[in-house]
Amino acid sequence: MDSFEKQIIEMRNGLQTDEPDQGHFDRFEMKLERNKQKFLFKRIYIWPAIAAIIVFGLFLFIPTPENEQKQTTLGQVSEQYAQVEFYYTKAIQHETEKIKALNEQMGSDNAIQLLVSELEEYDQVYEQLCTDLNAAPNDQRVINALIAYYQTKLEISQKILENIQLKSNSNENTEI
Amino acid sequence: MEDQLLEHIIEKCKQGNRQAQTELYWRYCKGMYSVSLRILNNTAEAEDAMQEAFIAAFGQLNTFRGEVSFGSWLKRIVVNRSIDQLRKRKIKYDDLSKLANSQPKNEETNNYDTLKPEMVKKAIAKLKDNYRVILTLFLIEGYDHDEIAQILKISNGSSRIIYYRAKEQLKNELIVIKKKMEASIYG
Repeated sequence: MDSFEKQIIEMRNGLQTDEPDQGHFDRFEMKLERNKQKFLFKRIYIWPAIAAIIVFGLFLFIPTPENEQKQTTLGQVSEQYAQVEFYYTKAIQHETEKIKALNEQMGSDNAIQLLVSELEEYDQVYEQLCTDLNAAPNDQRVINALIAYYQTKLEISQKILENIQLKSNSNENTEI
Repeated sequence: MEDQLLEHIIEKCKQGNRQAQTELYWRYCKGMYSVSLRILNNTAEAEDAMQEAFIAAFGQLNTFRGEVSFGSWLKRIVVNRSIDQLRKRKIKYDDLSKLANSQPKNEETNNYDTLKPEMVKKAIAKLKDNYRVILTLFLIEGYDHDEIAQILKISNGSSRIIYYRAKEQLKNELIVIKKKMEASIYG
């Protein structure tokens, strides 16, 4: 540190006294205001907008699984209907499994195969009813139709099963 | 007492209180403007940089932990803002190519007792951008060469060399200014 530097350092306070041009405070307030608006704009408008775009994007890019999951079924109408739905789906599942097993055991009868595939086609009715239910979740007519669908499907599968069992019995009889 | 009041004002500023922000501005604007003006050497740009630094500081007051004085904390923001602005002029801080001829010629006198702040300001304003910035940061704002190296993204060695040359240049400028003043008084 030489004497020149010391001299300047001693004078530091005298070098900190520059004043900005007249009206600087007004200009500062304007900048503050503009900044506040920018800040508010960012907070109020930008983030929800971005969130909305992201959500929209999600719907756009994964529409199929999203829709399938969202589809209303009978069980979603109320707890009682959920029990009904559970009973019928289990019963039908049980019957169709038996049908398939017996059918295979008997070497795949074409006539029965046809019945099974027709039973599966009957599922289209179910899908249509679910779409209707989705549109009108509390419409009793749709709910009744769905229950009727389950009942019918169960009855048909039981009928098919009876037929197969009869057939297999008669086959066994002839074999003996 | 003074510190408590300042703390109180800073607390209010953190909550976005406009009056407290105004108070803080008036307290520091001259000092901060001087810092910015010394770096930028342009009144309009200096005012902008200083005011933008204040607004940036208001926005990041939560990061002020009181490890350094509030003034030093704010000053660092002003310095960074001003340097950012100066970068637009594409200055090479460690450009030594044009320094070869600027050898000191101030063999006359080492008596700087009669120096006045206004003369020093004028002399600093005459320096080249990189000389002016480094001399200001070191001699007037009190940063060391490590800090200057960090701020300007140059090496510590470059900062030292440029500072040395800048100091000699400043002495020369002061001699010229002094002579002119003497001439106008006595002539």
